[in-house]
Amino acid sequence: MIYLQLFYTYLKIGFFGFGGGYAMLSLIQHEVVERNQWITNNELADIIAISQMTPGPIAINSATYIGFVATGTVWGSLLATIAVCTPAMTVMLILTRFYLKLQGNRTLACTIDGMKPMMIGMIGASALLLLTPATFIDWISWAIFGACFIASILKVNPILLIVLSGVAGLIIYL
Amino acid sequence: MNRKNNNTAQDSKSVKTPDGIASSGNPTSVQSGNTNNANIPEDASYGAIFWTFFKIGLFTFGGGYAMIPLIEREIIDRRGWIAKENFLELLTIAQSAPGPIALNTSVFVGYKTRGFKGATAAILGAITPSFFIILAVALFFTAIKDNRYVEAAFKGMRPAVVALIAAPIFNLAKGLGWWRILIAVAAAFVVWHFSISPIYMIILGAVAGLIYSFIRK
Repeated sequence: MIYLQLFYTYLKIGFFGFGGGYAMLSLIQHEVVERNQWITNNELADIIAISQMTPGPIAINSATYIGFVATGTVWGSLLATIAVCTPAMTVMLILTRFYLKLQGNRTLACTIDGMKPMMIGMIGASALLLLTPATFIDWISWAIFGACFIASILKVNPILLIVLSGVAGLIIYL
Repeated sequence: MNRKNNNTAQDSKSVKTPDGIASSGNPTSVQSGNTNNANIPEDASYGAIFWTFFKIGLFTFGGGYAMIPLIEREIIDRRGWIAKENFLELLTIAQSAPGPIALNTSVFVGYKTRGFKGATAAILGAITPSFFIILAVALFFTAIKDNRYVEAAFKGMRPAVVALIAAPIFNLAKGLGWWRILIAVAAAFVVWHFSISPIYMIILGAVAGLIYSFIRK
């Protein structure tokens, strides 16, 4: 049953995951942490950190990881990964096939335009949902947050920022 | 092979009327379905598509947008599988479809070169590296995550992750206009504070856009 639930959940995430990785995170958090409770908020933050340092989109990385954690088997990983790819593949095939016909379509353009503020809002929600007492344990957390926020706006490499804050964590919290 | 494709790309650029873009931009859909064999680049075997996207998947750190320059170099400049004009089309579609941009991009290129099977080869290539890497991490990390060194490092990394997610919002919101920013803020608050599924927000946005298109015809 867990396999069916896993497949259905990641199918949903794949289908409604508009706006790329960070926007999808709020949906992943809602489904995986709140509804199904396969992992905790902290673990999700950890997966995102790992995902920043490894190749591949965060949505697929989370599917592979959570598929394994939820079922304890490689099959869970495989199933969740396939599930999250299926809607993207289907919708993309349709859009690619009919792009010329859809190109000037005002209704479609307006629909996508209407979703845009929502996609950006969902990125904001992703950040807010991860901003919990468990992830922000003291003022040092806020200092790391502030430093990384500014550095990120100044286009410092995200992998470097994750590694540096990991080193900072080792020095401060050990 | 390369040069030939580049030349045709340039030729069609010189007659760049809206129709010119359309007809040169999408050779497969002008003809119906399986008559597109003539447009298949010689070196685009399923194996080559798989391998190209395997490489791209292996070196894409930090999400979909990081993949775009790689796609440009490997697929357009080096292989010539899709024409330069199709690149904009690719970006538009990949960003408006659901799912990770990296994945959508591979489906587009795979489909344009070798149809449905090409898309399958591309998608498999793109996800295989990250699948095995994350699987290894999952096997390994679940065993060591309570280790005090690991826990200390992650205590430092968690706020950094939140910062990395929050920082691009300001860039994205720049061109939005104040009332759309207000909608974005409201949607974020509703999802965060009331634990409402983001699915409803996406649907709400789509329906609002749809209604708008009918009202302001």
